[in-house]
Amino acid sequence: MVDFIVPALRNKSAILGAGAVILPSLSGSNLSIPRVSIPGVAGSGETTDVSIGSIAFEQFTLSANDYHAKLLVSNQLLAQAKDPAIDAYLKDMLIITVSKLVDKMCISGNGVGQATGLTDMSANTGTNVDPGLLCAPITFGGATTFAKLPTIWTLQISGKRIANGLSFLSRVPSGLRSRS
Amino acid sequence: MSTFPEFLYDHKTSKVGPYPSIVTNQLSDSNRAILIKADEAVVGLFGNSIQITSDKYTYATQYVTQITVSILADFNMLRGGAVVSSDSAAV
Repeated sequence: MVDFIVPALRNKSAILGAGAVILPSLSGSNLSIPRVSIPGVAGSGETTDVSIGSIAFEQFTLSANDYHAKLLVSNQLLAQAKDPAIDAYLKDMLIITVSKLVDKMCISGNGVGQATGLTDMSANTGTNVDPGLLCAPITFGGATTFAKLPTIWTLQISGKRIANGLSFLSRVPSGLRSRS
Repeated sequence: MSTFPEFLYDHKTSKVGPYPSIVTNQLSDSNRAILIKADEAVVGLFGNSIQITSDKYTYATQYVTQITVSILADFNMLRGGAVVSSDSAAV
């Protein structure tokens, strides 16, 4: 079923639609994945040895958190699901429900009995560069203009600019939707 | 933008600047935005399943069926540096 539902979720979920990697077949055990916490960096003269600092690794663990969503559907509607349009509607409702679950987990989860979402993950502060932590949040301090936008997408991250495969996740207020 | 007849979020292309922008109501109302290289985000689904349970008894008197969808899942970033967000009224 997962093989069937994952492609459908990518069309509905914000985080999956942006291209998040799915590991769909984990067993009941936790999965620990290593990542760099302190990058090894050094500079040197043209002909001198490079003395690279130690690289430090850390692990993050994926563990099974329970997520549930409930739908209430009238029996009359279910009885009429032989109609392909109603059947498609019900399936679509289920897909949307699961995609909302996934987005809530990934974006706004608070880490208490659930995953920590992007809005609650720890971030770097000041000049600290820990690749495991999010980039320090940006405060524009007023209305954003086109001139300010490059601030957010030209950040140098661990000395390497990320450019490809980027997406914005945003909540656009209805006032910004200009089409009537 | 008060002086320019164009919006940061282009409804015609669903882009902010050069990047695709996906609207989600999981962000707060403060116009917050996240720029993410999402292929460095990992969603783990445990048990190789999404459980769907149909309960026609709880709301039987209303002639309604309760459908419960359950997943065992977790989320994290392979590299946190692939995410930057605005923390207040911004993008």
